[in-house]
Parts: sequence; C-alpha cells; structure tokens
Amino acid sequence: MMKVTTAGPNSANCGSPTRPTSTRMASTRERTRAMSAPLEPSTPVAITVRGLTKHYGRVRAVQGLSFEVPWGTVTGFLGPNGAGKTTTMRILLGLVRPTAGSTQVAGQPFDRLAAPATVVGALLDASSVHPGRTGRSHLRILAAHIGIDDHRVDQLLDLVELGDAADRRVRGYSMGMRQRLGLAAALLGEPRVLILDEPANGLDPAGINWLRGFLRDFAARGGAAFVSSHLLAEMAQLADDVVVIDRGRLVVEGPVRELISRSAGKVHARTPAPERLREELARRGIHSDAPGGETVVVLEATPEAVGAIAAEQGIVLYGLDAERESLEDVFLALTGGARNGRKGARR
Amino acid sequence: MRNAVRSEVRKILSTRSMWILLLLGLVLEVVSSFVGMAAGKPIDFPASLDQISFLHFGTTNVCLLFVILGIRAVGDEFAYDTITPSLQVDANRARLLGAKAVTYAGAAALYAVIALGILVPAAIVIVHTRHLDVAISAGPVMAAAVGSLAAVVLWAAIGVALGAVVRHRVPVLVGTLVWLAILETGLHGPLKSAAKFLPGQLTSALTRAGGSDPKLFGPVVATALMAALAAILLSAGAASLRRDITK
Repeated sequence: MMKVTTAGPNSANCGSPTRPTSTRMASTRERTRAMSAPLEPSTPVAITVRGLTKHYGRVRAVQGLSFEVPWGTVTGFLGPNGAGKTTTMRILLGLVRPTAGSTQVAGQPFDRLAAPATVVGALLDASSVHPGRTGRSHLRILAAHIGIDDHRVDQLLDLVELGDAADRRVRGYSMGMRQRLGLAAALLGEPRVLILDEPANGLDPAGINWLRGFLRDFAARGGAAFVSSHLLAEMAQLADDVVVIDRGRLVVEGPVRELISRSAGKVHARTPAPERLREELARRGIHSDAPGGETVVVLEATPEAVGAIAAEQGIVLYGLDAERESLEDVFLALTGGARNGRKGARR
Repeated sequence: MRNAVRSEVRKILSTRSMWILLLLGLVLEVVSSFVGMAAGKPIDFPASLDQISFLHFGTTNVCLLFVILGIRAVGDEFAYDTITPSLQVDANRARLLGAKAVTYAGAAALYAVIALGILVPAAIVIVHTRHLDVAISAGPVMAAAVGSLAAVVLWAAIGVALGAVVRHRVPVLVGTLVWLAILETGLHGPLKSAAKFLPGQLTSALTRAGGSDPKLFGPVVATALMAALAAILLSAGAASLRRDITK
C-alpha cells in the first residue's frame, strides 16, 4: 500500500493556484466572496476518520478505515462502486452508526455539533427532495430549521443559478438542477466543511466548470471540501488530495500530484549507449525495452531514478521523458480495475 | 425546538396534498354538519346539544384524518428521503420527532377550534330558529368540545409516532385503518370489560360520544390513558429513529 503524507499543494488557507474560468464563473466567484467571509478553521484538521468499521450483517462495507481531511483543500474520495464511500460519508454525517471506530467533523462527532449546518454542509443524494415542493420552499424549510433568514435562500438560489426556476416544483427539475439545489442546501448555514457525494452527476460541462471553480474558491478561503466522484479526470483537476478506498479499506491517501508522480510510469531515455544503460538497469532489477535507435523505454521507474543511475555510471543521456500515468491509471492500478473488467474500458 | 416547529409548519404549507387534505377535511366537516342540522328532521336531533354528532370527533373521520396526516409527516420524510437533509441541519432525531408531534398536534387543535368555532354557534342558531326541542347547556357542550379537541390532538401525535416506528407509509396506513375500522370493533366482544382500554373506546370516552356509558372510562381517565399511549408510542418512535438511515 502506498501512503503519501506530505502536505497538499494548496494546503494553505490562501494562495490557491488560480485556474482559468469563464466570465460566468468569475461573476459567481465574486458573488460567493461577497456573501462569505474567510472560513476560520478551529481544529487542526477538518475531518478525522479513525479505525472506521461498518458491517451490515455479513457484508463488511467499511473495514478499519482511517484518514484525515485538512483545511483549505479539496479532497477527492475515490473508490470503485461498493467500495464504501457513501457508507463512510453517511457515518460522517451521523446517519449511520459505525460498528467500530469514530469520525469527527471540525473536532466533534457530527451528532454532538450544536448547529451542524453551520459547520458542515452535505449533499449525498440530489433526489432527496420532496418532488411536490418548489426549490425555494425546500430551501426555506431547511433555513427555518437552521434559524437563518430567507434572504440567504434567495442569495443561494442566485448563486447556483436557480433563481428563475426557484418557484417551480422539483419534480420538473433536471438532474443538474437538483444537484444545484442540493448544493445550495449544503451551503445554507455557511459551513466550513463540505461533504459532497458525486456532486458533478448530471451537471453539464458549464455546471462542472462552475462547481470546480466554486470548490476551489471554497478551499482557497480555508474551507475543506470532501468530494466523492467517479469522474477521475475531473478529480485530477479539482482535488488537492485524494483518499482511495477499495472493499472498505484504505488503499492510499495523499496529494494528487505526489500520487501521480510517485506512481511508477514509463521513462523514455535517449542515450548513445542504450545497451549499457539497459545492463545497468537490469543489474538493479529494473526492466526496460529497446524499441530501436538511441531510445530505451524504462518500465516502472521515475526519471530521477534513471538519471541517477546514468550519472553514476557515466552514461551520457540526451533526454529523459516521463510518460506520466493519469489519476485514472493510478486508481485502476491501486483498486485492481482489471478485477472488475474495467481495464479494457479505461480509455 | 422553535425553529424545528417552524420548519415543520413550512413543510405542511409547502406540501399541497397535506394542506388540501386539511382544508378539504375542514370544509367537508363544517358543510356536512351544517347541512345535516339545517335540513335534518327534528327527530334526528339529540335531546341536548352536547350529544350532537359533530361535537364528537372520535366518532367522525376527524381523528382518522389526523392520524393519517401524522403518519405521513414521518413517512413522507422516508419515502422522499427528505429525512437526510432534515438530519443534516439538526442531528437531534428526538427533537425532529418532537417538533413533528407538536406541529401536527397544533394543526389538529387549530382544526378543532375552527370547526367547533363555526359549528357550535351555528347549531345554537339553528336550534333557536327551527324551534327545536334541544337542551343547550354550556358546561356539557364545552366539555365535549374540549374532549374532542384533546382527541384529535392526541391522535395526531399517535400518527406521528406510528410513522416513526414503521417508517413505511403504506403498511402503517393500512394497518391503522384496518385496526380502527375492523379489528378494534371485533375485539369488543372477546375483551369484554377490558375493551374500554382500546384506543377507539378511549376516544369515545374522551369525547363523551358514549354519553354516560358505564362500560367506558370517565373523560379524565380516558385522556390520561390516551396521553400515556401517545407518549409510549412517541418514545418507541424516537427509539426507532435511532436506526441507520440508509437509502
């Protein structure tokens, strides 16, 4: 098992790299900033999961799962279907009791939070809305329970661009509109932590772009977003850190960039002495191919390792190119994608 | 708790089938009772006003209406999974259940006040204008009205509790209707004197629909027993709500 523990690239509460955004996105950001002050973390980490286990009869949904989600980051929660992601999120939100272990959000178990909606906002299932109610009334019901003004509802409807559909019954909403409504509900109490289960489901490309910008902005203001997704390419762009689980167990956690860079990909080396380089690599147990000419394709190695061996042996190198694996490649390798017959469909 | 109740009120007002059912029930109750009094034969009227049928919600469909609404209050949350967002804003499940019980009991009380507030004066006017031989005594009429109000309030709370215990609307609705309409009546014979402990019999005692029937408890004891039943069922509902919420 690979475990990466160093801090994420955007782990600070500010200074998150700015990504290109559309004009529409920029206006959304301005509105978001206008309505929300920086989110002050009160505990060392936003989410703590310790030795979490959940059994449903003989089914072991989660087994001894432990990880942390830092403030100021977007953390992706990845795993194949049935890996235990939703169960973990439901335990985090106090909906399901663990068989063993514990979870904390902002330093407290969810059910001990005095005003949970002001600490953590969640979107588990966008269809968790009464179809006969309007989007506005759904939010107003929750706002009344939290004890916040209806003005906040109107602000959020504008933020998620549902203002025009706010007085339509939810049964007429598209999946994307329901996702936006669910996100507005999660944001009602101005929480510092977001727990979102597949929030990009049903969103069109513009919606996904909006969500990406929103979550990056949320993390930049110091909040912690814990987001499950099966859109790995999207997660590679969005997340600072990832937690990967499979069959209820932790496979890896750490910054996305380190995860990808540490994953052993292929290295293309150009050298006038390809055979000598291959011999030196083979002596160290590193496999390589020689497609011809001056090129050596080194398998399961990093450019740093190949460069170091070449330098040590005085082998001249004309170039070193890493063939980086994508997050999807890493994910499939870690979770045994071939086991579920996904390997052939990964491209 | 105040916020939770406010939220529950909004749930009723924003769910068309709920408030239409309430409004329809109220209109039907008032109109049918009024027409019955205005057009009924003198012989159909009781000797005293406190025995007139509309005063005894326990023997009408009003208690049934509120037990159904109470069951739906919780059952709808599970049917549409709105229980999940509800518990995201307030993790205290007992408070959520309590707020529902208070809200639906309040709605039942309001319903009773409006219905009786219209029907009792209307009955007095009709008795006088039609020169009917019906004794009007404020004490017994007030006692019957208060008993009926208590009955609908308690049945609303019982409905909420039943919804929490069973979670699935259809089986609990069918089970409650079968119990009230068929099983309870069928149990009167076998249970003999113990039948007075049955919820329907307690309701009759509470609303004084049975007059001074010696087989029934007095209204105070009946109220206490019905309240105890509601409290036990609400406790069971709160315990049941502690179960995992999965979808």
